[in-house]
Amino acid sequence: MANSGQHCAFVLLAEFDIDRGAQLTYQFPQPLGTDEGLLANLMLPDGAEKQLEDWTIFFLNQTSFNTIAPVLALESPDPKELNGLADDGPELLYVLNLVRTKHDKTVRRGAVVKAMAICTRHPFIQIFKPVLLMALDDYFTNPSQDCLARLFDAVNAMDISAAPTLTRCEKLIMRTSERKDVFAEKFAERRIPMDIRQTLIQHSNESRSSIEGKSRSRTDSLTSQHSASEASFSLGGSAVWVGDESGLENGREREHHSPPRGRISTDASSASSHGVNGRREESTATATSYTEAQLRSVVKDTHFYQTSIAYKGHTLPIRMPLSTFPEEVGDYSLIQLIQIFSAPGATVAGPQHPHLHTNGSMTHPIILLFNALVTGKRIIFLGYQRPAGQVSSYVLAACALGSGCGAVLRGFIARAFPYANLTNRDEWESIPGFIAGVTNPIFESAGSWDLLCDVGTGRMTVHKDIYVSWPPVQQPQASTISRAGASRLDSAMSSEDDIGRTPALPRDAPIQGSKSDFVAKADNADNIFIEDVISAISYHFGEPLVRARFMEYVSRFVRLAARYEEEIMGSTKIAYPNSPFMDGPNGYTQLGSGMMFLDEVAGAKELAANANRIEGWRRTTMYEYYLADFQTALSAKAIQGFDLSHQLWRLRNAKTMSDAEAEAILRAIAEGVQTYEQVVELLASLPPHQGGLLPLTFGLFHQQEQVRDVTVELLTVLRAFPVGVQFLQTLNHFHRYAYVRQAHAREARLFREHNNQLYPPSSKNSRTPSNQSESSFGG
Amino acid sequence: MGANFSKALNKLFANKEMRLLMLGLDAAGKTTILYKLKLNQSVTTIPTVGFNVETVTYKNVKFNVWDVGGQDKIRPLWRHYYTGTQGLVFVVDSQDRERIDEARTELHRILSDREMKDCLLLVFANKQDLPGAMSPAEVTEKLGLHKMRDRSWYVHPSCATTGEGLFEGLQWLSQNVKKQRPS
Repeated sequence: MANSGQHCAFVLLAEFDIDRGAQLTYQFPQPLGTDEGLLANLMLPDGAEKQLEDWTIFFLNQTSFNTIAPVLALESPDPKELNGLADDGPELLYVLNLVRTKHDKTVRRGAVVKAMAICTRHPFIQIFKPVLLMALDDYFTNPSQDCLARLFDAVNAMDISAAPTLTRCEKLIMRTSERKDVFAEKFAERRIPMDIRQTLIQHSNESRSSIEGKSRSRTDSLTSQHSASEASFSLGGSAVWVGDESGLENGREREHHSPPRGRISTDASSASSHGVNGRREESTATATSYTEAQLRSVVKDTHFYQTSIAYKGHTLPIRMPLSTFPEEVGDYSLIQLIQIFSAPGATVAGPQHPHLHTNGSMTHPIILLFNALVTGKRIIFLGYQRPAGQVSSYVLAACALGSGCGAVLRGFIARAFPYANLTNRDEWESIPGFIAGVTNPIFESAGSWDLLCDVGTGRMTVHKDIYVSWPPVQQPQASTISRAGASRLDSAMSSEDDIGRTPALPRDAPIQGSKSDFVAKADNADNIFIEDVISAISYHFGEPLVRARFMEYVSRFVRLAARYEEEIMGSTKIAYPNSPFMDGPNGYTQLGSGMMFLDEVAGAKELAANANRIEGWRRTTMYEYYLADFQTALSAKAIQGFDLSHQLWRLRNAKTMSDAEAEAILRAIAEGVQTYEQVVELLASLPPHQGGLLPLTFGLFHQQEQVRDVTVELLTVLRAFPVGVQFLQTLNHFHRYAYVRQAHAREARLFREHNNQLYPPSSKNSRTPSNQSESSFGG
Repeated sequence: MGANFSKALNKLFANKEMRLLMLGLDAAGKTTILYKLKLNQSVTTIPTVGFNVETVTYKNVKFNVWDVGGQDKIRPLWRHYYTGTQGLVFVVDSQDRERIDEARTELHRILSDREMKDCLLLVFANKQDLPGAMSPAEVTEKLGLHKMRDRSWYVHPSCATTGEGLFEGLQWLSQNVKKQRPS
């Protein structure tokens, strides 16, 4: 992001000539080399004259018909930002277009309709809205190509070089964190003046390396500390992480000496660390506090990078989002999408299809839409007499819905046409699984779609010819499966009368049948999920939570699909194989992995209910992308060697867990999580709305001392990083105190052991009987 | 197919439905006609960028009228509206003698489309209130309608701003729609 070249690749101007029709007047800095009539018609949407102002969004370089010619004019594409196109394909360009109708009695036919568009490589196109508004105003008062040049230069002069680039896991953490200072240290590395930056980098390197070598150096660093007594614990108490930690080393030592209550100012903390820890050099300490103070004044909310665009003497503030994924274009709203299709008037019409109606007639419209998205159905959002900008935003929201906000699946934006019209309908309608936004009701009667979503009424219609376009496909015969797991699934299914006729694993029954083939259950998992999300929305939870919930929903769908593959085909390439925890003789243990169900019978039912859409998904390119992504992630992950999400699921959901498994899980996590990347990856799987660190910190109260110790060890690693500190701060006081107390006991013990090695054992250094207090917890 | 189905329904129920497509050169008065029919008001219109569609009920017939912008660069879009059209309302600016040839060319191009081969043709010789307007007979002749043998056509003078002649045109369409396409 920081190294990307031009922000704005082209500026376009179109106007509706009252004698000739839609025409492209200017292309700056050079012609795009694509059909001008098409561009003009996309910029002047159907019904533009009825809206005083409207925004449309469309993409370029998506498919052969909208690929632009002067590829040389663009910077070399960043492979990470490619959206599921062929690897050698040109980079997708996002076009944000503003169209305005000015009524003017003095001109012939009473109105002027003009549109201006920015073509950019940034998916967060919404940041350009203010400057585009001003530029189009400018053009209305003084129409000339200079306006386009001014806009082009202004946008490209925007400086985002200092914007931090976040990794996938960092983005995941930021998305669910409400703290406005999450990853503030990322800004510190870039924002501050050079001389200070030098010191800081030095400082952070120093501390980072000391963390990596922690196991070796910990005992050394403890030599200068006071012996930890019960008194010092109560003094440090639960206030230890209330304040900000200025530095990692500081933080570690501060626990003994911090003021008991309230926020600790940076100065106080660095002074205290300075005062206590003579090893720290004065310059480093002051540099740290200086930059932190500076940071706080500059960065209001680290979710955004603040910059500005200078346009004609105005400085327009720009807030660039840092945690969005490439499949998230513009400022879409899942909440709006959910609300419009969950409103009391929302209906579903048309025939039922096994890919779509996963819960028969009770399939929630949003789930229906999701099923259509992941099984590659052709979807149209129709907004007759609605602004084109509105249908565009629904299309973009749908892409996020299907992709799990870009965090799980991809390949949606590449076939999305946020605003589409008749001009090139033959071309975009030929794209498999297109997702298009239109304002013209002609598409309802004459379109080649599978699912039509009317954003005006909240009505969804499944095309009457859906079985012609998507003939039911015979699925793997249950009888051919020899695996025990599969037969378990099979028997579980047939034992349930109510799903006996589900077309999930058809033997003799044809898939296409009467409505009675579709079983509708009120307690379907999807229905419960949607109800939960809707109630969250009605309680005014924000967009980030809804996005996070859908991200989880999609990633669970994928895990479910993996389990399904295992059951039906015997193996899967899109997840870890399913296996329970194994506790062999001689202390041999093997961690479980894969998707688990709380109740295997209920799980088998769920698999059966999902079978059709999973089969549908497995035939799409999205599946292939996911398979490739998973295989890449397997080798690229920071935490290697075990299925982290399985372990966290066990910690969260297991009804009973053997001591051996608890220890094995926590030990594996503690051993696997040492570096910053590993910490971030772990924390990304522990979002605050799911309790944050809680599944881990319950280990602090385990009856086995080894489990408690290994938990303390793990939390101590987390604490070495600012983001880990933020997670620890969200723990309740009970857990926090448990950690502080045990950490001190542990450090004291290590300190003594260390001393015992150096000096002859003395009675003063003998181990405090901490078992006493610990056993009271474990009891 | 859909039209046949709705026709079958029309036989069962008193109300008929008819899908009309209103085309013509830019500034012929299509949108003014549409909203005069719909609202019985003379509205000030601005050029139609895409289309307008309204339902007008006249004497138990529901007319679904599509009005599509007429500038030359957007005329290629007209074809997308042909499917299912039972009646073409072609609007001519009777005062615009310069472009009547252009209008004829466009009209014949529309009617040569396979999708339009069975539809009725109603021509409004519009803007009759303006001085020097061509008479319906002159418009008929200039559009070359006499050469059309296989099609039901009707030219009617109109004035969109006052509404004169508009309902007579609809009357002709509703009377002739049932005779058309026995299938």
